[in-house]
Amino acid sequence: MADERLKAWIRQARADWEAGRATSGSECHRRYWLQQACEKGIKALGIVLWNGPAADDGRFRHHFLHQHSPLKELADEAAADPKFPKSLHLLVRQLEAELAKIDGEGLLRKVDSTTPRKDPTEVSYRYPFVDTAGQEIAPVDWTATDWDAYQGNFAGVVAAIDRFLRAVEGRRQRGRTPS
Amino acid sequence: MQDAPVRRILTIMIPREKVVELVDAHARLEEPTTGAIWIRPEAGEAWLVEVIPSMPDDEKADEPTFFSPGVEFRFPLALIAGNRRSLEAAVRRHIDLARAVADGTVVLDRGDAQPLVELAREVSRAA
Repeated sequence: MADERLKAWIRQARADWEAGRATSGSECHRRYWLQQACEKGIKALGIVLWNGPAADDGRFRHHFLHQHSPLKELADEAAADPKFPKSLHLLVRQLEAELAKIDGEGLLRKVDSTTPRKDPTEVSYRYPFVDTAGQEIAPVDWTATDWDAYQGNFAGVVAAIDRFLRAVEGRRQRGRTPS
Repeated sequence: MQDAPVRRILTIMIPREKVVELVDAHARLEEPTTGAIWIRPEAGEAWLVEVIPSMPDDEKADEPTFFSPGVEFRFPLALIAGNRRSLEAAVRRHIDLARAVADGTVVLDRGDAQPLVELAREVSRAA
C-alpha cells in the first residue's frame, strides 16, 4: 500500500514534468508544471525517508504532504515552533542532506521556494500580480528570461527534475527487493 | 522428504565512508552538526549520535529518530540528536547509551564529540 502511494506520487510528478517540458503552451504554464513536478518529487522523497513515530504522521501530512513548497514549509515550521516534533525537524535535515547531494546547483531547492501563490503582491505562476515596479502583470506576460530569473534556467530545471525523479524511482525499485 | 530451505541471515555492513559522507552533509547544513559518534556498528541501521547546537533542550534526547534508506544515503538510519547539554544529560541517565557512546567511533569532532565520549566512559566506569 505504501509502495502504491509512492508510485502514484512519482507517476504524477513524471506526468507534470512531461507537461512542463512540452513545447506547447505558454512559458508560465510550462514553469508551473515544472514547479509541480519538483514539489511532488520532493514529497515522494519525503515518503521514502519518513519512518518517524506514528504519532507524528498527521503533522507529516499537514506540514509536508499538503503544502505547495513542502521543504520550505516544513523548514519554516521547524524554525518557528520550538515544540515542533523532533522527528520532523530531523526530516528537514535529512531531506536537505539528500538534496544537497543530488542537486549540487540548488535548482530543486530554488524551485521549491517558488510557492504558487494567490497573494497579488507575490509572483505567481497562475494569477496576476504586481511586480516590483508596481506594474500589473499576468503570468503569461513574463518572458523566458523573467522565469529563468525567478525559477531557474529552464533547461537546467528540466534536467535537474528529471535526474531527481529517476533517482527517487530507482530508490523505490530497490526498496521492493532485498539487495 | 524435502529439506527445509536454508535460512539465510543477511548482515548488511554499512561502510564507514558512507556514514562519514552523511555526517559531512549534516555538518554543511545551515544549522550544522558539530559532533558525531557512530555507535552499535553491528546494527542493521547506522546509529549516530549527533550534536546539533541549534536544537532546543530535550529531555528525551536519548530517543532515536528512524529514517528509511534514501536516494543518496542508502542505509537505514537511527539518529540520536540534540544539543550537547541534552545529550550529556541523556548519557548520564541511560547507562546503555553511555556504554554505546563510550565504545563508539567519533566520525566528526568540532569540539563536542570527544568530551561526550569521555563523559560516557566516566559514566560507564562508575556504573
